Amino acid sequence: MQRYQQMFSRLATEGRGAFVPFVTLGDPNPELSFEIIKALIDGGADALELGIPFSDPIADGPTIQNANIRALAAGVTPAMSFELIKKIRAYAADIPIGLLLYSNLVMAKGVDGFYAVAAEAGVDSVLIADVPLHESKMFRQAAMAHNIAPIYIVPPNVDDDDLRAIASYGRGYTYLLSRAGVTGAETKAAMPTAELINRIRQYNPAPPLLGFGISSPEQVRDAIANGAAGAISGSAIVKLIEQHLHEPAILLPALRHFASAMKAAT
Amino acid sequence: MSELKLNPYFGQYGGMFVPQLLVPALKQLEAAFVDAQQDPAFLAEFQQLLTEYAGRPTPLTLTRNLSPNPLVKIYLKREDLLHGGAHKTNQVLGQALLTKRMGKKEVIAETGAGQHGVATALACALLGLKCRIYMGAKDIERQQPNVFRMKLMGATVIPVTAGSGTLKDAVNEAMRDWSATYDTTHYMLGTAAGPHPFPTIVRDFQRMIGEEAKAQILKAEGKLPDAVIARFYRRAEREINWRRARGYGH
Repeated sequence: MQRYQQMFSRLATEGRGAFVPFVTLGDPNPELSFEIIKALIDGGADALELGIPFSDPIADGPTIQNANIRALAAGVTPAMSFELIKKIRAYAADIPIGLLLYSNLVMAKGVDGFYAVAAEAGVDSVLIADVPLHESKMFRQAAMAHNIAPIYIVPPNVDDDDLRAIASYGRGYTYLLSRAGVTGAETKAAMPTAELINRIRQYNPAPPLLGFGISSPEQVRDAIANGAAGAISGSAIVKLIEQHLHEPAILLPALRHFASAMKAAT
Repeated sequence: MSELKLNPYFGQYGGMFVPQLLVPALKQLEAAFVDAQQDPAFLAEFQQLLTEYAGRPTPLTLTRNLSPNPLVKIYLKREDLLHGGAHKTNQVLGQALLTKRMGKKEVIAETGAGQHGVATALACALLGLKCRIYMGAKDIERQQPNVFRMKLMGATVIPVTAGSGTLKDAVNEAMRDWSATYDTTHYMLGTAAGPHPFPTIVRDFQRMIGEEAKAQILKAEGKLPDAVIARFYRRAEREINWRRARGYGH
């Protein structure tokens, strides 16, 4: 998880924020998925958020649900997802790699075992979308034991007690939720005010990255101007994948271009 | 972090495995439930709806022809005679009263075979709540009469085509809806499953079945039965079980 600290201190010297793309591992198939992630790294991604395909992604809107369905239909398993992560780690030794997934995947073969496999593959952080603060203890302990950063979500309706706990338990970065609802570019991010981010920062949590409904460079610029340490964009990227499923020659340059435009706004 | 008022676990099961965003809505529901359980006016209104609207108590029927053995006596607790045609009506009335208590005006629910959808639709029609029901597209095809009844009582039935197009996917879709609408909307979960406090609420709002049956058998036989058999592993519960299985150590 030290890779996050290294990234944020590099960005601090550059006076910039982070651009973090999200994709589902193995979407639409393992081979093209690797090329997709390479294109995002080449385009300027500072860190990666990666999902392991799952049948019931309750925090995701239709775009990312479809990415999960495509990857599952291509036969992608958690073991194959970790193989893919190893290839990405070999391609980019220093980039922070975060997993964003659901608790069944972590519990299926034992919580500690999951974090051991993740650490071995080169994962830096894990965010479990359906494990709130109340239920996070055993996951957090297993994560820390394997030098993986437990990531916490700060929703717009957070109270001060939860903020204090998140600041004390979270490592790596803090996932700042732009709005209620599920993932998707259809519902735009509601930009948190500078006052809100300032209030959050007073508890000194790991640097906050803004996510949900981020699809344009202007939103990245606004997020950073209001005090976020960067922005996460998922559905906008997955939409490009969906549009050009069978045209890698168009898709890969488009993804590189999208990533560099988003990065340029940091 | 602010504490829960009730124990969210049932041994190694239970818990509150939902996105952080929904935790305040679940805490609000828990607080309303705990508060209502101590409010005589709430309990009286619930009781009045159960007796004067739903038709409680339901009879305990001694079957005449089920067993050829004269030493065997089989009684049935007749939840099928409840308004709506199933035990589902009991707890939706309780949850509908909680919805009003929280100042919410809309209700969402998931349904598999359609009985919970029907019960939710009738409770919402009775108490003036706007109602939308998520139902797997395959279930809608299979259960047209129940879909008709839900619509007749003013509910909007939303087909879910994602995944397997059945109950599990309807639950997912209802949760997604709720994560954007919890300020104004109550999620009326239909069975003793899902995140805390739903299992506790459903259990407590269904407990009159057991209490009545116990009093009725004592009156009829002067003693408790040798065995009590409940069918609980219906298709609906089996499909929804994946969510309950998110508890510890399963």
